[in-house]
Amino acid sequence: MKTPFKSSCIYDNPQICPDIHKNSSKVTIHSNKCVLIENFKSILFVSTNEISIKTKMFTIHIQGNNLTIDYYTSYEIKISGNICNIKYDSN
Amino acid sequence: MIGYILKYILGFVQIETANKGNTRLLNLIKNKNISMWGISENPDVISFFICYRDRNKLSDIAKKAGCEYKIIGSYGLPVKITQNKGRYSVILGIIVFIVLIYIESLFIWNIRIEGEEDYTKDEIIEALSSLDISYGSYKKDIDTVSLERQLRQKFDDIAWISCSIRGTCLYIDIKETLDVFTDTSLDVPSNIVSVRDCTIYSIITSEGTPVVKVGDEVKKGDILVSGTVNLYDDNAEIMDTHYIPAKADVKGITRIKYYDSISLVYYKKEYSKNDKSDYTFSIFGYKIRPYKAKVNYNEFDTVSKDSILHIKNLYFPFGYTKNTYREYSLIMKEYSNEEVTLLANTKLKQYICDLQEKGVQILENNVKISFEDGKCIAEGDLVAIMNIGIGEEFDIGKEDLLIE
Repeated sequence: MKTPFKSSCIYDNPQICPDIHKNSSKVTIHSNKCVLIENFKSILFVSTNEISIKTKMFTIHIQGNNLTIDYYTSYEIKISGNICNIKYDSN
Repeated sequence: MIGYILKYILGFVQIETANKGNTRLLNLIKNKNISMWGISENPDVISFFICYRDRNKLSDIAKKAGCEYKIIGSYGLPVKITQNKGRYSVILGIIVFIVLIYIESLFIWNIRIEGEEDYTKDEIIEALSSLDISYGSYKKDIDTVSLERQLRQKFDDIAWISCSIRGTCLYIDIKETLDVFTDTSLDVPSNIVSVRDCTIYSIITSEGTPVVKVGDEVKKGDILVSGTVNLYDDNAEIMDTHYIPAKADVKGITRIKYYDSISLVYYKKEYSKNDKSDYTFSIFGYKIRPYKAKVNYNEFDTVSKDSILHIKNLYFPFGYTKNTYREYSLIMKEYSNEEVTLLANTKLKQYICDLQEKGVQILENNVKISFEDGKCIAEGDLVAIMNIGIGEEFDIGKEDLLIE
């Protein structure tokens, strides 16, 4: 659904949540143990020390130890383990 | 927990694929809206779980990704159903079993009676049979409230009764009355008459005209309280007469005769170690005895023990009876004087206890123990205070003559 506002000023409107925009992905972090990512495109790389997720705007690198993917669905991915670093690289 | 139960009901499979940077396979599976979980990655392989129904879509996806996969294990209810697809008889048997258990639970298969003293279990079960209640009766046809009322009417000496159905068992709890000598429960015009010869000890009249007073000697059948109530006018003439059921508590001092004789010579059973057993099986009330034990003993006791198949209160119409035949021999023995005296006294004490439980107060014990013709005789009387009145219906025409 197209919003009646310009994409650049959408975040200025306090009545609309930022993640309603189709280009933004939502990352939820619980301590350093668990990361939930919504609205992403695909997985680029999987290992126990690093997992790379491609979103529309960025590539998110999650670095740590004993990283595992708890579930991977079309709308959400959950990664758990000892997370040390989360890095954003622009596409 | 709930998630695991749901997964088990829907079924899931574990897939393993070689780890050659196989994120393409994972991404293609995700794009087909197939959810994965438990993704574990080793240097050599990646394994993950998907729903059982999605396993067939994997071959096209793997072909597109250019990799091979292997189903390591299948879990859940659909897998069990698929494995037992041809075994219709097992499933049918399970369904039939459940239906039969349900139908069986709609009927009564056991009757438990507790608290009976003077009345036997057989008498009460016979009374239930006359009310069309027995083993195999439909539970919904039994109204416990009206059953209690009907049993109370059938048995005079029941003070309290409770009937309940738990599972497939009918429970009947009884409390018998303690006092059986006073019966003033008539609803028709009646007098209270004496049940035995005695001296009046106390008379408390609630309804009726007392005919006797404390200290009077009365004989069995004498009227104690009349159900005729005369109304007098100012000139002391009878104005009107009412006939009512008399009610009173009348106690009298009476002598209760006691006689008991015990032979000094008696036979005692001495059981040997020999015994034999056989079984009788019961199905829906019908008894089947596959074999009867050959009992060659001269004298033996038969002990039968019934067992009914049940799970807590859910009784089934199946059971068995174990019949045991125990051999014994009769040995003649003789009581010593002390032993037989003790036995006679014990029996007398038990008799007095039973009377006291029924509300009789013992004043004197004049029972003497003597020995005669090889017997121990306990004879005498007990002086007691007890209720002696009982209701007796009268003819209204004749009653006036009796009172005069």
